[in-house]
Amino acid sequence: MIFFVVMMAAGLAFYYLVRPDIPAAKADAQLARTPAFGQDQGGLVNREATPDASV
Amino acid sequence: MPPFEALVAWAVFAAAVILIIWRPRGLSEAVPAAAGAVILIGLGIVPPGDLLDLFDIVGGAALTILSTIAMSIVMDGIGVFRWAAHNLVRLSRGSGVLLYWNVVLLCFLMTMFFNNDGSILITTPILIRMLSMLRFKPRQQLPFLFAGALVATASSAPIGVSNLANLIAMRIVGLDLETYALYMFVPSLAGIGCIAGLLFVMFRGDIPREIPTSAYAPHPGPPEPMRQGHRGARSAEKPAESLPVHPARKPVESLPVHPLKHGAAETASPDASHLGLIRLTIGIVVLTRAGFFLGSGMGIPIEWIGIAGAAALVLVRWIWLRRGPKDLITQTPWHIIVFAFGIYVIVYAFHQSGAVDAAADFLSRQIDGDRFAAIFWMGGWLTLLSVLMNNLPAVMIGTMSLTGMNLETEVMQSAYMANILGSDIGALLVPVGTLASLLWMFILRSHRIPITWGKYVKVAFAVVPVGLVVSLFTLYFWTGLFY
Repeated sequence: MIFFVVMMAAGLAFYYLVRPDIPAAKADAQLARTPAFGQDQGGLVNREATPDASV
Repeated sequence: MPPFEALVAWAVFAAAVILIIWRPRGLSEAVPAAAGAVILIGLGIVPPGDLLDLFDIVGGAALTILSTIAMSIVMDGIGVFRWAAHNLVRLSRGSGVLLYWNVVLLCFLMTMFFNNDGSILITTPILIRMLSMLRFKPRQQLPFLFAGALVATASSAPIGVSNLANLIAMRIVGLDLETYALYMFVPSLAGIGCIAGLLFVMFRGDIPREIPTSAYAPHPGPPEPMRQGHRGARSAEKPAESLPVHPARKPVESLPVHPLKHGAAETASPDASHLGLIRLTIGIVVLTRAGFFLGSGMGIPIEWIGIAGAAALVLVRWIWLRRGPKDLITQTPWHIIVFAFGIYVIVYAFHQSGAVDAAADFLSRQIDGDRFAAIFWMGGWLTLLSVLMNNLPAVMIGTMSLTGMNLETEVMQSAYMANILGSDIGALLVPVGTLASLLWMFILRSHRIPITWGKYVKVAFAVVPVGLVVSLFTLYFWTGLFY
């Protein structure tokens, strides 16, 4: 019985070490959705479609 | 045993040990073990009447280890371990020292919840990935790699179910799991703590005081994989792999065949949406492991508990991911049953031939009913045997020898515990001492990390003998509280 408890406590520590880090996962997923430098971002590249724009 | 039969038993034993350690062309360890057993049984050196008894001792232990490996395959396939590298860095909060101790803790727990070989196979790539991600210099990587390997391997001593040899030896002496852990947990922890502490002192100058606080911390001059364009969805799935320093060579053919080697560890992706599944699978593993102690106290064979745990994991994965047990059937190393039985038959014949009788007589006279002498003589003897022939046959020979010494129960049990410490901690002196250490060397080589046998032995000789002596002393004083 003692070691049942010991193993359960060790299990908590184990979970703590291997669990997914949700904020990091979300941040990385967000990063994945954000267009990178040099990638076609629509508006500026298609400027000819909006000739009156100030840029 | 007649001289010719004894000679055959010795020759088969020597050939099997050499082939198991050497593994020419990646030969499965089950092949020499099975071939040796067939020769010995075919020549009548091991009588067929003994086989059922031998299988009774080995079968349960092999099934327990198989169920554990099956669980690690399922968890690896789900991607449970993919966050470990990231977590180690995050939880270290910018401290290299804290990172070192987190690595020690992870390797210890991995062996506690799986087995020593599985722990090495899973944690070593995690550590390599993490050290690459942190852009540590080769010299700075050594403390983490050595601590991981030595701690993961030695951690099979505390609870008895993390190592095939320990399980078989436990059956030979008829010890139950709870009693084993009660006597061994504290002495083993003392030895492991001592080894980890000595490694820390030895390498303290090489452990960086400050490290990045996150797996995502930017580094100057990212290597090629970071420049290959946009970090797309794939990089979101693989946060810890973004900065490999050691170019991952295609796994070489010389690597020993193992289900986790080329498995999902390299391909599976951690997915936050699977958090519930990951929690559930970790819960099942922990409950199964803890259940060994509860169940064995009630007389339930631990292999049944292990099989039930593995079946529960497969069922949960099927319900959650609709993934059947096909990978498990193809990846589980079923040959472990053949290997365990074969090597046990070979060691049995070797022992019956009287090969170690002289040593057993000598040890029996030295022990002379004294518990302290039993602990230190057997601990030292098993260390020597393990260094010479690997700890798997060594612990079987040592345990068989013990049963013939007619020692009092408490002296016999103490000597048996010392056997385990010698074969799990003392065996770390050289890479051939344990199959897990050999596996570790193979993994490092496949990642082009230059740790030679000479370097290993130099480090091991500086820390392992002290760790062994500390654990043996602790065993003497700790078990003295119960006798």
